[in-house]
Amino acid sequence: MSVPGSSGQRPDPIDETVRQAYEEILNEALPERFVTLLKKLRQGEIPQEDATTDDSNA
Amino acid sequence: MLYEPRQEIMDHLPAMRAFAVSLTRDPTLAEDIVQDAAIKAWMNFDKFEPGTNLRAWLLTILRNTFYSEKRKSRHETDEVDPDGPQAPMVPPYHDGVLQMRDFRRVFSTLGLENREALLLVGGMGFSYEETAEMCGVPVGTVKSRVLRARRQLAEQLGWIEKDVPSKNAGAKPSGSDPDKD
Repeated sequence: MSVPGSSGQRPDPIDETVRQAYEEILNEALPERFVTLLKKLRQGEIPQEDATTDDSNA
Repeated sequence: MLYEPRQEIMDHLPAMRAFAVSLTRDPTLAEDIVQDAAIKAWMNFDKFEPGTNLRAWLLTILRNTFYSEKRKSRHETDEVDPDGPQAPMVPPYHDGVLQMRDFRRVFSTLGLENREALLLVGGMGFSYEETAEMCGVPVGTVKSRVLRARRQLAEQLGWIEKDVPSKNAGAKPSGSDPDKD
């Protein structure tokens, strides 16, 4: 079985549709809470309860 | 105001949110996770290696946060079993035109790991190698997950016929992933 576009140079149509779906969400307006968050972080106000678990090990 | 390198985190919030919404399928939960991840990244920015991919680093923190939360409340956020009765099997076409809403519904029926891999590679343009590093799995596992996700979507969308297992089939069976949890 072959998936259309998965082995050639043309973009896979599935990937292309996934990209479009992702970009629809990407283009939605960011909620106001993130503007507030940035202000707080700039001012050094970090909610400690949200920062106790270190998941930053990439 | 002095330039603060950590503020670059905020440039990636839309991508983090879009990734989180795609993972959780719940915008409110997604935004909670993005906020937690952004705070962790801000506080641990000294661990980021300048010159490397900041977005990949942030998404790694995001997915770690997501999986931590998922483990805490597994009963609430457990993924939909694609073979289960709750999987929304919907006709993906309307008057011959693929509707994005329908595509999203079918996409959401993929297993979490396959959905994540296809999103990172196909949707966001990360390489297999970058995705493997972000997910903490071998490159071959990422390729298997992406291939499986593409195949499942194509089948459910009616773009290809469903694969019929056979004794001598050369294709890997769906359960052959050595890293499958």
